[in-house]
Amino acid sequence: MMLTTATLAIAALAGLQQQQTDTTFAVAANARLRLSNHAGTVRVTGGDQATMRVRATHGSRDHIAITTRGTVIHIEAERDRGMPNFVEYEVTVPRGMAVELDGVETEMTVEGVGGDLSVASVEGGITVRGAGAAVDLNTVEGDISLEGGRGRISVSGVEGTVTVTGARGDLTVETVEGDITLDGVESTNVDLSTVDGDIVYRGTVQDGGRYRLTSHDGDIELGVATGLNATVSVATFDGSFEADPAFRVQISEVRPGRRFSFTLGTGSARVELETFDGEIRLRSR
Amino acid sequence: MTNRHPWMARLSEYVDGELPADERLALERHLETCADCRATVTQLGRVRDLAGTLADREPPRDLWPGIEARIGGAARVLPFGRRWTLTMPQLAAAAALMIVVGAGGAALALRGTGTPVAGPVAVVAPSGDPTVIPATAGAASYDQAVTSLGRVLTEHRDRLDPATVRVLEQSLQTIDRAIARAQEALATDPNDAYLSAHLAETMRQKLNLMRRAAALVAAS
Repeated sequence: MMLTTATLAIAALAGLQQQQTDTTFAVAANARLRLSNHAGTVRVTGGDQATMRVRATHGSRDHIAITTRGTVIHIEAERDRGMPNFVEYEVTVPRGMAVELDGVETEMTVEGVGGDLSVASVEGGITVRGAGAAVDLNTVEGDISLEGGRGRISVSGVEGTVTVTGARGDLTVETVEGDITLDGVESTNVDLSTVDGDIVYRGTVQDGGRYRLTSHDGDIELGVATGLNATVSVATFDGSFEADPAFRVQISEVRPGRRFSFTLGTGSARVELETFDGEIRLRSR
Repeated sequence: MTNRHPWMARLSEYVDGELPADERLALERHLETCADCRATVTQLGRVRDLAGTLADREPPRDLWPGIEARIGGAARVLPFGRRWTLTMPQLAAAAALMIVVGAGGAALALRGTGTPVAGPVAVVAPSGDPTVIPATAGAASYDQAVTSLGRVLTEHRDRLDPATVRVLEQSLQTIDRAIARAQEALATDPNDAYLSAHLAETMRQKLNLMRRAAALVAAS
């Protein structure tokens, strides 16, 4: 949001005149959206109509090019000379449409889109609500928030927090400097890693599943219901471990300060909790 | 150490499913009581999985001549499914070098098709077969890949927004500190499976970030 405000202020100072584009057109059932926006904001919302509506606020010397190649609908601002300025998009698409967004200095928001979703920015946060299929989110600087998602879910940041709620599927989340929080997740395959940040996973640990939570400098918290069947491996160099008494943890192997493991129930799932320097907590919920 | 981990030298065969049934059962009995060997098996599995991912990442064909010229006859082909012969101390470098091909590809994309990047050690031939220099070259090749990518980023940093450069450099410094701490810890206990795995993971994260950064530069 700071980015948006700052860029708008710069545009205002430069005396750039803003122009509106607003167009609606029918789209095929198998159509995909690919939208590029170098700087500005993008908001994509899933709707009930088999149409796409594109509203854009942009500089008077820019125009919004909408082209179709095969089943892919491309949207991008163009200018006869130079790079287009800041553009604010609001796009409504059929709910099941696959959507691919990319930008550089761009804040991205997607709501109620049920198709596959790919969003990439460099300087800008990503917010997704009501995702219904596979999700791939990627940014360098900015927070990432995902609600929903089914199937293969991949989230990659560098500096910023990552929050995922209500996802169902295989999850891979990686960042460098930032916390990772997963809540209400149902998955049999979870891989979460950060270098400098805490990791919290609150969700299910299902029989036969694999769950890997690793940090270098940060705490790890696994919040699950008691009664799970898991072989839990815990490793830390300069940290600590604690478990709620409800789990009745009996550590079977111990190497002080390094790695130990224990079995809960049948031990069917594999859980790895590792932090070089931080607390590792097993919480009941 | 040898007595505590009698199966260490055979773990890669186990991961590849090449142990005879009686030896496999005996090893699995050992795994039930040995966290170090279980961790090593997990790491070997990850290396294998990473290599499996690489098999799908075919570099653009116009990059191949430069890569091929660089590796020359030194490379040997390890068709997928071949046995990995990695020892514990090699795991850190091995896991990291598995993504060097991506790093090298990004660097090549920036330098043009005619200039080979220094020292890619794991590449994917147009046929899809992975070509791998022996794992003993891993640490040096990792350093070469990091140096090469770092040079590219330094030379072309003006292509990126200063704020992005700041974030990338700050994050790389964070990872470097983590690597240094892991190396210090490993120096005090070279046979610790967790520390080896942690160092490998952190090195992989550094290469992954540098590759992403180079890709950003190339796309800008």
